[in-house]
Amino acid sequence: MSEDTSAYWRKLLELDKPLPFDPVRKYRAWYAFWRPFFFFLFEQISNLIFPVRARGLKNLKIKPPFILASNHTSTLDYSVLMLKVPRELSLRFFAQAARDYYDNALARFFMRSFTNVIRVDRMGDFFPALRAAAQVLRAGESIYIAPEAARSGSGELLPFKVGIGVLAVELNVPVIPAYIRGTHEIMPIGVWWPKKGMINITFGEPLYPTIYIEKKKSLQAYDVYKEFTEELRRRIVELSKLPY
Amino acid sequence: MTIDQEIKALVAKVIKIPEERIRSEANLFTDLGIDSLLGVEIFAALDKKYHIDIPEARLKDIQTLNDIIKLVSEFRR
Repeated sequence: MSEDTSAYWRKLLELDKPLPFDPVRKYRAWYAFWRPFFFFLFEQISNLIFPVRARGLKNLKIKPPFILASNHTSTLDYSVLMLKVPRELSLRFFAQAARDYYDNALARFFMRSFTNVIRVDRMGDFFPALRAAAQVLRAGESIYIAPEAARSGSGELLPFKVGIGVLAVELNVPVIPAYIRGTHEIMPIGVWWPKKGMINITFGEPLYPTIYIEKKKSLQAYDVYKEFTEELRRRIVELSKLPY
Repeated sequence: MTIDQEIKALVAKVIKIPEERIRSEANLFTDLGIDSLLGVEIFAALDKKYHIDIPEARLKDIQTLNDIIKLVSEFRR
């Protein structure tokens, strides 16, 4: 008998329902018009204090939608990644952010200046955020997810949450793994102004869910999502070992 | 096999823990270390087996095997 339990997951993600007219409207900040200026300003500050180098940029040249996933040690992570994502894409990128940070007015201002925010309730029901991310991806937009779901205080990679596997496998979208080196030293948890230093980002090859979609026929859905997520983590660990 | 035994076997299979280790009052999340998405997978397996549509918001109502048994009986009515 087939173990495939994905029908329930698809129902929870509302994948069989038609998309609303403008599915991403509620995540867009009204002041997003100043995002290009904000990025420009941030780039100048970055060049002065923490220049960002990147390799593997060719891996970003895939057709959206995709998920970008990286290690997470600093509040700088998302913004430095976006400095290397083609600007026409970074200006419309989405990101998941913890609701508890979003509730702070200043943090909210910065987050929404940088990105279109999908709030995640870390303490309660996490499914609305997964559903919102699914809607955004279905609308053809790309999204950043930190699969550790929290910043690592030690700089070591934490275990990954399986939600990213659910999205990739059920929506058949690739995940581009990235490893950020330097943000932990420059601006770790609890530090509010960056030190001088160099940031290096490595973008890995996209991880496509095709074989995992096949596996759903013989395995329970969660195991497939977990396997995908573990493979993603393994790839980010590999990127972390590359000398710069 | 009673329905309670059936549910216990199903939960054990989903979370990959031997049935004998799952006590009725053991907390699935803190004692057996399952994560919340694995909790959703338990709902998915129940949905497949019994054709009951449990909303994921009810995940917060299950902590133990007994809670799952009660929830299934509520939705099978």
